[in-house]
Amino acid sequence: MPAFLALLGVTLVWFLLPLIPAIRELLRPTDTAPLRVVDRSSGYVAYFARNFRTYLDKQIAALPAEAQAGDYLGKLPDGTQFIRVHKSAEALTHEVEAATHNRLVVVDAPLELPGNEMFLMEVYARATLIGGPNAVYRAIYAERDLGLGEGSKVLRWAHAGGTFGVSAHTVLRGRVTSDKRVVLGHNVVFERIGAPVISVARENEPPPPPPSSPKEYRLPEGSRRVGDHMRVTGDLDIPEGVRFMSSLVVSGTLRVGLGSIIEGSVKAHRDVELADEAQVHGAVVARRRVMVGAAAWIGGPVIAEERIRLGRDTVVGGPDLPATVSAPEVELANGATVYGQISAPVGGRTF
Amino acid sequence: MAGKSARVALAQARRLEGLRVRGVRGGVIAPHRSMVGLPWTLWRLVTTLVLSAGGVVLVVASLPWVGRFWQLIFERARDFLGIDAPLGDQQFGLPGNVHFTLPFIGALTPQPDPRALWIAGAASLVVFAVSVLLPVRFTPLRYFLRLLALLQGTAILFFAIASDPFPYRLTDHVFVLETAGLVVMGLAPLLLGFTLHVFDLALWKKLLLTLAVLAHLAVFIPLQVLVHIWLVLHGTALVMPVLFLVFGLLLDVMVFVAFYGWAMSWRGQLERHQVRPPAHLGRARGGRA
Amino acid sequence: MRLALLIPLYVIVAVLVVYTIRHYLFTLNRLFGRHRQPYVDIGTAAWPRVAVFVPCHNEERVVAHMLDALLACDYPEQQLVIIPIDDRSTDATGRIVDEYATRIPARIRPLHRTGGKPGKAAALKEASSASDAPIHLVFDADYLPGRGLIKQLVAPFFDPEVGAVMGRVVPMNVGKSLLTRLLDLERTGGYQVDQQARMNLDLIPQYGGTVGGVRRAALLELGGWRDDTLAEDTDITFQLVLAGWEVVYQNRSECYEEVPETWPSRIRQIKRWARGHNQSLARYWWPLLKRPAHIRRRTVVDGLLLLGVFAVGPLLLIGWGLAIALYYLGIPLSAGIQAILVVAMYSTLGNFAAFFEVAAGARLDGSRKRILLLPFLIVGFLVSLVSVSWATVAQVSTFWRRHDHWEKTERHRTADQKLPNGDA
Repeated sequence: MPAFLALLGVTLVWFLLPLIPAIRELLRPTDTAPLRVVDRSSGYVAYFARNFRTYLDKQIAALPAEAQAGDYLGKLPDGTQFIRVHKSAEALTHEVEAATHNRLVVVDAPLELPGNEMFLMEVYARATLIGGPNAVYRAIYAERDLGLGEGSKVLRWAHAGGTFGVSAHTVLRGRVTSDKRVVLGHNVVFERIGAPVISVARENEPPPPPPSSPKEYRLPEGSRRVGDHMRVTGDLDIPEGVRFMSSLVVSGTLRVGLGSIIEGSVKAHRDVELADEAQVHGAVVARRRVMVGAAAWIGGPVIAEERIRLGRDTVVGGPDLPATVSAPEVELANGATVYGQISAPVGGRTF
Repeated sequence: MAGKSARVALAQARRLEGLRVRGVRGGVIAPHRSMVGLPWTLWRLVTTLVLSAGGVVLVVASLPWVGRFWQLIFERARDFLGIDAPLGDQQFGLPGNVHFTLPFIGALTPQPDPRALWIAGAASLVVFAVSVLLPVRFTPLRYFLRLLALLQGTAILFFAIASDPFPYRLTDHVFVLETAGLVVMGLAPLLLGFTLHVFDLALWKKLLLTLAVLAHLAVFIPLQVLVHIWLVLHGTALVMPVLFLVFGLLLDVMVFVAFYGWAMSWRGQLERHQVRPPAHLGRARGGRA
Repeated sequence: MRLALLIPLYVIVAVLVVYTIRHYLFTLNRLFGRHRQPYVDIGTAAWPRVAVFVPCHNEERVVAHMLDALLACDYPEQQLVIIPIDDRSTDATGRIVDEYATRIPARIRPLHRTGGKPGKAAALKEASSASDAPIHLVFDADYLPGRGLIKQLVAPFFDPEVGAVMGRVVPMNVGKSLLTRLLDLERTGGYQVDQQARMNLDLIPQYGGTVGGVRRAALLELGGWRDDTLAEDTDITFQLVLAGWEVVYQNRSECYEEVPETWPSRIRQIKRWARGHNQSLARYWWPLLKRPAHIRRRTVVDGLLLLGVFAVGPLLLIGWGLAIALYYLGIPLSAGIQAILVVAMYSTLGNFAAFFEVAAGARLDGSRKRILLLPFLIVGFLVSLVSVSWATVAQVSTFWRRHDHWEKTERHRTADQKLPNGDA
């Protein structure tokens, strides 16, 4: 018996050996916190910008009096190196090494930068800030208007309280927001943009969609009603100049002809192609691509699982009708306008 | 000159990319967990295949040594436990000219007499009663004990009323355990290939884990079998069903799961090198037509 | 005799192998495949009207937290109405919801049920006519939706084909006991991997009855919620799919829930799920198999596997029984039969692919250390296996009974308990 007990003991110990990490985690837990459920940042495009603003306000409020105004070089209470620029960019020349700025920059007055700078920490502008060409910004917060020079890069986020103008060939990574309007130049690369109005090379409001009275379109045989929409199997080509008064789901590709109007939402399991001046009053959804011609109008969100291309002068949403354009890749032609938000996590660009 | 400026440009691009994806405390900003995936690389595919196939080949090639090692353990254990029975071995062959032997102890299988049946029955009832009396927070243990009692009950029933003799001798029990154990050892590298090597753990960790599983089982299986042998010799064939069904292969699998869980808790290379994991948002397949 | 036992054992093992392959493919897809969450970035829109239903039966411990969370959400106030359904509560639930309604009458419109069929399904059926909002969301009373969750759950409904949406359930009382930690792992595998893979592969993500919602137009077309089921969520999922609607899963839309903290509570919960799910299996396996034209073959296959998920438990037990019987009959010791035994015995653990799914999900979550508890999942599986099988046997033996008894899940939270803060 003792011999057997010894054998049993050895066997049990050997068996339990790989279970030791499990038993330890059971008895002395190291990982039992619930997952942090993201609350604010998803869906709220200006989240990081607003957070930064709140952070900076607290830091600056805690600065000594001499640091509260005028040019200043020092540290924020949490140890972050910062420089305050009061009147001109000359104060920035304190930083050498090919105009690379390793400090958080606070700009008090309207400022125009020469260009070619690299701001490795955030830039905060209390007034209008106009950046020069080929500058690189980690992040920018401007309380008023903000302009980025040609060939600039934003790495994390940028926000303007006023109009945000983006010159040609700029790369906007991360989130770009404005409380008023974002105007994008030619060949701008972007990821996420949020503003009441986002337009490509258009400073004024686009005209409203033209009213029209096209004839009513009847779906082909075999289509059926499902709930509040019509379902069509295969591809569907809606001719030009007609009106269809329902939402539509197509199992193939949907093509809407020149000037036709859909008074509802549309979805296609392949592509949605809207010709010039076509209108969809609701959302446009495609499993692959949404290709929109010139001067088209879409009243609701535009969602594609591959790519969206908005043609010249196309409008999505309206002043009282915010909407989102969302696809891994988004292309916007000159004059395209979106009232609300654009999300292109793989890459967006203007052309 | 052109080369230098290209290097400078590349260094700057890397620096900027680092700034883009790193937070204020220097950690990499990953996509949200709901979107994050794993990158797939050719290297990982190759190493997965090599480790899996290599592991199986290692097991098969080492069978002769494993057999001899088990033979040695049986020899020592038989003397240590004072089992008065001859030691034997059975030859096995696999395709590819792989020959190995597995040990057994040539003891007669004691059959239960009515007294043994009554004792076993009483013990099963006690175990069942304990399962009822345990507080509800031990529910899994309660269920397990009931399962044991139930299984032992089937064994008692069989020996009490079956007209046919119990179909297994001790040597059969030993061989099935040994061969099933070898099957688990042979399957382990394959299973790890499918479920562990696809992750971004360091190659040496994957190799070490595979070897650890095999080495552990190579030692555990003969020890387990020897415990069974002693219990059968003292508890009669009555205990063979429970030993086989609950304390046989199941324990080998638990060992594997324990190793697997341990390995899956290790830090991956992406995390170690602070590389941003991908969110696979690529091109869609065509929808239905 | 042996053949009569071997053949069904082969069949059972084949079914288990199919589920193993399914789990495995889902996990591989989740890790390496193309990810689908097309609606999650819709942050700005003309948000439609929404009614949020919160069925409550004796939820005095948790309902106030839920209502506070809903009131704090960033959905446009004028577009959101909250309808707590006080379903024959005998505690202070009715009083609490009335207090909220008195304070904020424009946004909270409670419904008090004092009679009628018991249960969540019946409560929803009765309450759904209380609002003509185009979107009906449902939350259980113990949930804690974050500020942005309502918008996230509504976003998919801009797609006219979407009939229902489901978010991810995240346990908040993880550290209470071994049981809660095991359930957290199970949820991780089920949502982070399984549901998302079904969404990626265009199969049938399941609407889970909470942290989700349905389109009212779809609900009306189907005749409303069924109250003759214990799993109105599974039921509506398959009704929607058969009628041509899509069910969408959104992994990003996370919400805290309270998992059972005691084994009896867990057993009651899983028995209810099993009975409800089996009801749906009985109702919809044939309509699904007949394959309406708009449903693809692979969707049918996965739909059938999804319907059968709670039938696997009893099958496993039967397989075990067959294996035991074969053992006593004395299987000839040829390698082939041994291999079958090996597979059969191994499979009785609940197949390793489930471990893979759970572990992969936890790694994706960044929760590596909790994967160490994987061996203890066997413990959870054993209890689930027995409970589900027992429930199925009881259900089959009383199939003639028209009404099933609804047992609510126990709550453990206290009214003044500190809640997890999701804010960064």
